[in-house]
Amino acid sequence: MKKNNKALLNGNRGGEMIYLKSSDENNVFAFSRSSEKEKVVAVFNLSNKPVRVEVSGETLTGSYKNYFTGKLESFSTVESFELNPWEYRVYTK
Amino acid sequence: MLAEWDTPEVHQAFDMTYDWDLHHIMNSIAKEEKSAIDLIEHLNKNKKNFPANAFRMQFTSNHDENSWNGTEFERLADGAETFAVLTCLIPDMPLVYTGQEAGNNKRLLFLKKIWLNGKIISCMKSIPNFFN
Repeated sequence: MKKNNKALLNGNRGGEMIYLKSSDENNVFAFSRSSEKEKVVAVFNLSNKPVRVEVSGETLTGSYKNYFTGKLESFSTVESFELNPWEYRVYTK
Repeated sequence: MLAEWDTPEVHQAFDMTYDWDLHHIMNSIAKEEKSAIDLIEHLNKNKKNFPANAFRMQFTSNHDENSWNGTEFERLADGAETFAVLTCLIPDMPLVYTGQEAGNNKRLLFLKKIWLNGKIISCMKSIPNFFN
């Protein structure tokens, strides 16, 4: 994945990490990284409990493919996520 | 060039340093002693204190941790896979220690020659494909 997505290049060669706001900031970490043409949005539940969280930010907007399931999804600037314990979501475009 | 050290000043000579602090924060989050807020604070500190062209090396295991403190599954439990993905996606250099690409769940003897054959049973759903 890192090889194929320029947003994930290492250090300052890749896209800058822009944090997304999480309504559950103790447990959920989310960010986006963008290159000229590619983008990654990642949302992590860093707890062993299920969470329902609102994630928001200008850079959340867009149409993505869920990297692990292949499902296509579109996001606006605010989205709700229901995450299982330790669940992570990675969206790419 | 990688320094086996973790402070900003060595970047005058080296390209990359181990991010031990983030590693310990991940271990602490898994033990419910720290939170995602501590993780963000640390990443902000990295950005402020290290040169822009510095690479921090991110790892959920390495030759010390695996041998002395346990595999990532012992330390991070069900969070092992989550933190493996996290360390690959933040703007740093991920380290994949021996066998992690296949989900090795054994402690390896420190600096001893070992033979990891194809019999490692993967403990991770999606990681092997993710690393490929």
